[in-house]
Amino acid sequence: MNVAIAQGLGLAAPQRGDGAADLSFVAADGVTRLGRLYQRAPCRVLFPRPEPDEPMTAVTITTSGGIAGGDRLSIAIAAESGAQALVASQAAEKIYRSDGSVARLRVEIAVAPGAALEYLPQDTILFDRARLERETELAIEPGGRLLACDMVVFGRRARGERFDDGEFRDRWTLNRAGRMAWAERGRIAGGDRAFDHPGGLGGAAAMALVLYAGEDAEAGLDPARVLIERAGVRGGATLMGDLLLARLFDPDPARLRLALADLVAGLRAALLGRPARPPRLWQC
Amino acid sequence: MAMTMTIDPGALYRLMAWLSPAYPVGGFSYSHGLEFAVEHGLVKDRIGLVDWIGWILERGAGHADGVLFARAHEAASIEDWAELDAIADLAQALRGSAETALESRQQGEAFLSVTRRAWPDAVLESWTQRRGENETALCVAVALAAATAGIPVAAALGAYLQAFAANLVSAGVRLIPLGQTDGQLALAELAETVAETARHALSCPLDRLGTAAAGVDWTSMRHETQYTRLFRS
Repeated sequence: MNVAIAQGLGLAAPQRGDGAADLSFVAADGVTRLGRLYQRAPCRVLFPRPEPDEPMTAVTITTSGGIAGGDRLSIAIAAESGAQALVASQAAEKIYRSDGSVARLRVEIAVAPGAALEYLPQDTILFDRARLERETELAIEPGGRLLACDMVVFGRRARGERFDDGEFRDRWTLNRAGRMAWAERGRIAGGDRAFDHPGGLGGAAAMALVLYAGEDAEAGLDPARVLIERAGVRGGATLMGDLLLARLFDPDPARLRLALADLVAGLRAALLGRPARPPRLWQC
Repeated sequence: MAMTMTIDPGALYRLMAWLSPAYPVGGFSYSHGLEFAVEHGLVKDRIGLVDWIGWILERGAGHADGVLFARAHEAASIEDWAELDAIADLAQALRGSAETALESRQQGEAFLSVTRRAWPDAVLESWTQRRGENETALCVAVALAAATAGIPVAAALGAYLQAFAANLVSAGVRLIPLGQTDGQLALAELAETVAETARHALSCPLDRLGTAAAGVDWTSMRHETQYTRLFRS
């Protein structure tokens, strides 16, 4: 009996993905290069030639096309002293409906003194009945800078699907010079009252987060507020020490994607002196 | 089955003093974003206020601070200071905006400072020394003082969450505005939510803590640029 039939009959455990990508950027004489690179399917990393005004760019890909219950994926990115780099993802990350087991996604980012890293993946789409536990750990040394974004879509809204069953647990930890500076622990269940409650998502189908950690974070607060106001979606920004944090929500994921692209573009220019555009791979 | 809880009169006396609105930690000056929620029309009347505060209790800072309180009380009771350090670090980091961070940090520091004067205790002194520059969030500060004074966690946590809810009701009474009796009706209507939030927190491990209060964080962010403000959060 072949594996597919055995699985179909429930006789064999389905194959679980256990992927990893681990990369570092190093700098010498003002030029950033790849330090180490380790990748294990279904994680892949490509290095397209960046446009002349863009830094060294890495693109992450999940070759399986999405993440299923029981899969474990781990991405580690380090920007060593003085390195300048951008990491984006090739496509939205799809989290498939689960048979009950939990998919685990771990992202670890380390930014050394004098390094500037952008981590700008596309959105994560939770299919109905998906179960995902995601952990994002950010470590920024003094003098290091990180611009990161995140967008989560609940259900495939284009086909009328909602996130009626399943669970999403999300842990964020930001360490500054070895000390926990900011954390978030989120939990939303399928069919949760949080989708409609004004204290939760208030009718939004998607939410986004932008964070910038760096000693000059304050310079991003006013631009972020202006860009959010202009985008016409629900959102706000705040400054906690040298961490700038912005949140956006909208009932329409496509509109939120555009608002996020504008905000990311504006902050890239205002804080990092990059071109005022989102990564080229973003499909807006 | 009703839970019976015994607390000796000395412990009860301290608990009531520490969580009274008269205890000088400045709670009256924080609305946890409610000031913007009222201005924006999200909270219009008593029913809306009970619903909004209920959400913060069950899915926002009430839940998070409740779990942190319970675990901090546990760590302090067995004198596991390294664990209490880790809980205190998480408690001060787990904030959605500059103003809610200020709310928890400033009240925590004020609580420790006045409690060290009025109810001196070697444990509070060594904790303050141990933390140095690192601040202690209110939930951890009260949990530590309660554990040190031998106040059982269920009583201490219930009282802490009641005081948190009462402070927000009082902010709502001023902001909406509501009559004093309506304020007390709101507080009575929140009794079961406070009890349930405390019950859940008592058995929730730290790594299962999870909030869903992005909308509350949003009101707090927007409060920072609100034109006229009575409150600091």
